[in-house]
Amino acid sequence: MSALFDAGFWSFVAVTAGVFTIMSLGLQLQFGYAGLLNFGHVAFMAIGGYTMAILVVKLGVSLWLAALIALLAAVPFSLLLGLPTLRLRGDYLAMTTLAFSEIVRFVAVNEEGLTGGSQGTINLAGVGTAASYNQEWLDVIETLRGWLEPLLGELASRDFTMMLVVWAVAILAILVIQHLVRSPWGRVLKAIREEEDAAAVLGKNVFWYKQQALAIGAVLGALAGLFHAFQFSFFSPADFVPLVTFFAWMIIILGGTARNWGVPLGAIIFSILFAGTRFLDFAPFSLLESDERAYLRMIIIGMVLMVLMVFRPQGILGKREEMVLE
Amino acid sequence: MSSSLLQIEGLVKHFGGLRAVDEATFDVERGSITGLIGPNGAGKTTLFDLISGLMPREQGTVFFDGRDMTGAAPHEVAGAGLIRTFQQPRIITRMSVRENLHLAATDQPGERLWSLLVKWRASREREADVAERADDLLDLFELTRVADDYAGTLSGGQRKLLEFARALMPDTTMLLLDEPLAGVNPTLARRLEDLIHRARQERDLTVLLIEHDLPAVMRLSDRVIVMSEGRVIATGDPEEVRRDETVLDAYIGRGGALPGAAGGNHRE
Amino acid sequence: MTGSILAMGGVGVTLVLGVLRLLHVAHGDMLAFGTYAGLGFVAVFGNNLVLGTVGAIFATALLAVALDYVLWRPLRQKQAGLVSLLLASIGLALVLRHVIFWVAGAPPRQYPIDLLAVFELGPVRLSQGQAIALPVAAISILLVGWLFARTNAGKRIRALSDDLSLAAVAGIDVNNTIVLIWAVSGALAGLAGVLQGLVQNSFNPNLGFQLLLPIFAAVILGGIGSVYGALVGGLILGLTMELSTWEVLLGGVPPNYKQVVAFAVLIVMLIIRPQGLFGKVRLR
Repeated sequence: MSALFDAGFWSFVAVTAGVFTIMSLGLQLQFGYAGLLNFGHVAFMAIGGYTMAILVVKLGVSLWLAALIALLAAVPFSLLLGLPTLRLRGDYLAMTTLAFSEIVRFVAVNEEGLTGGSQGTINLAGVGTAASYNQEWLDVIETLRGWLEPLLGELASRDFTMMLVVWAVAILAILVIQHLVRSPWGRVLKAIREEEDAAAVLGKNVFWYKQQALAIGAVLGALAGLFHAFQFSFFSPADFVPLVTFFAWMIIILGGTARNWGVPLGAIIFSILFAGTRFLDFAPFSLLESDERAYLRMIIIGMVLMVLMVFRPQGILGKREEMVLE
Repeated sequence: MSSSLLQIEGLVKHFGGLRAVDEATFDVERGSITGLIGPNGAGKTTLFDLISGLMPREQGTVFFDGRDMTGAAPHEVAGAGLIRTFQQPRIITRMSVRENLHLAATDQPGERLWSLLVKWRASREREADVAERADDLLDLFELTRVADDYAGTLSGGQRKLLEFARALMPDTTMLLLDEPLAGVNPTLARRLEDLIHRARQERDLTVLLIEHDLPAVMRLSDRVIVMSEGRVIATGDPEEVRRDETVLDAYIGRGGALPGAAGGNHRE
Repeated sequence: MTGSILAMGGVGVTLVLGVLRLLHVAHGDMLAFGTYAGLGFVAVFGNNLVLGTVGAIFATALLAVALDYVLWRPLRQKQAGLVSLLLASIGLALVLRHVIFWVAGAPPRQYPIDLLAVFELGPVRLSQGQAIALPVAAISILLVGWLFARTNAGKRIRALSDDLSLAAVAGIDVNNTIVLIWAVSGALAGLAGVLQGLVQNSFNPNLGFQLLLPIFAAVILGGIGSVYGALVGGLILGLTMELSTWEVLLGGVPPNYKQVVAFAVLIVMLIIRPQGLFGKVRLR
């Protein structure tokens, strides 16, 4: 139980929550505001992370430039996804986006020459060399940590610094999205979500708005992918399974869809739920082995999802009138 | 350029084996109020869907304001100045009444992503103009009291009002009104009729309306078009149409009567 | 071979989707449940495959019906929308899969058949598992098709699938038929699961999810709501997936990418002909 108070651990959880916030914010825009059932969101994380890593390791591009390009790369991918599929009905769109994310993951696993294959980014520089893309980032974090240390002493660990950076970006992203959503642009989006035909006959180009929402959401997904890559210094296709998309969905439901500040709330609750099962080392849970506890964690998450759908589909912060889940 | 604003020729639409719209052809003159009537299932709403671009057109052409709108998407049709309303009001329940109106305004730079970021001052100014117009309409339709409530809380009649008001927000050339008076109490209905008249008077709006309230249609319209089973079976001014045999057949043959018909009501 | 499994899984999905408007993401894991239940029953019955399979079929059907009472009915009563149902199904999938992980463990398992025995049937070489599964699958598909065409129950289900409100008006007991639909869906999933377990020499609890998208693809191909469509779609898709690896066809697709073929079919179908081969055109 002493681990409960380990600041290092909680910093780590906080970073995860921050990354999830950014990712889910993208999904929030796509679903909560534009009504798009994107079940392939994790693909944009993969695109962000891999684009950056490939550029750094294989082409020697600077990390910052690579990161920028990675973010921009999400846009054409979202166009690729959107152009044929945005006109599809809800559940069809869900399936197609799921298939899209699996295709991306498949390519990542099989095209070893490009992505390092199933072993992940370590393999990017070819056999025998442990590739790393992270150095510039780690240097910056180290510098920041140096500034924090005199103020916070022991608290200023690498994870702590990382957490501050990620959350600063997350909050900035929320504010930007908030502004977007309250604008006339956002108003059109909300209308499209509920009565697409009405918006169309009033002169709004429905397809284009949806595409824009998809693209912005994709960029946020890629940003989350970048932070994931930075945090762990390594990733593989197994990090980008559909399960992650489902986590994001759970987060936006928890917080209440179409409630921007619900996203960080949902992310934090989710992260605590996820990491917290680690602390169940008292009876009867202590009878379980660690992988059994991992299963229990997923079972709990699944049950929470089902219970949520039955009893409180508008989420924690959501309002009944604005419930968008029907 | 002819005085007809809307020209439909040979429009066809199938649903499965059924011809919902069967070679529909007619003109609507600029500045006129034209009624579109016919028994249920005659294909009137489908025709609106075809004209406004909500349904893909299989055959035939649509010309609006001299431009070929045959392949146009709904937002392009609206952009050309043709706005339609729906039989069941499609208001946005999760926004306030006021926001529903603001939504309908055109030329709001804030609606385009790039302009939103770059031209935010222009967006703000336009929003102020839009708000003013919305307020006027709210006043006109006596919806000011509920202006800031969620549109979902409105009654059926109020929703119809909102649907109509919303169509008047943009600077339109022509309105396609789908049963604007249906399900609305008589006092309200008369007020709506007045509003339609005024819209034509004050804004030079052309109106094509579907209605089942035949006395109202006869009062309002300069011309009447009658459809039955997908086909246009008669056009002319209200008096002519009322006396037209084929029209009477169409209504009576389907077990209905033509109220106010010169020959009285028959049931066969 | 794959085709028939997809077909059976597909029938379950298409029914549930067509009638209940539920995209049953957990269906893959129902299949996995069948596989593992089969494993359990086989062991209980002293390595008897037949009894094991029967046990799996019943168990999965029972599970499906129980879930209807516990989860789907309350959601229906609340008029839960598309997304709620989808997410609930995802939650269910997670629970099912990880319960299996917990109970059966992660390492690969197999049915007690001789993994190395090979049967030669002309140019085709079959493992023992495949040799058993193939005829069973063929017979089952025909049986299912016949059941849906001839029996009253089958007709009721099809009526509901065609038009829910009309069927209710025609006096068909909707609730009971829904239970029947779940039972059929579950039973087929159970059978498909066992067969998949036989065909795949070894398997782990993730096998359900791996089959999910191909099953969806089969359903779309055949047309949502159409039982025959799902059967045909499954068979065609299975065949396509296998054939795609032949070098004769444009150099062939690398075997790893077989799954991607299913995804591609899914996407292409949705774009060019969303109602599938046999489905009705859905008006918005």
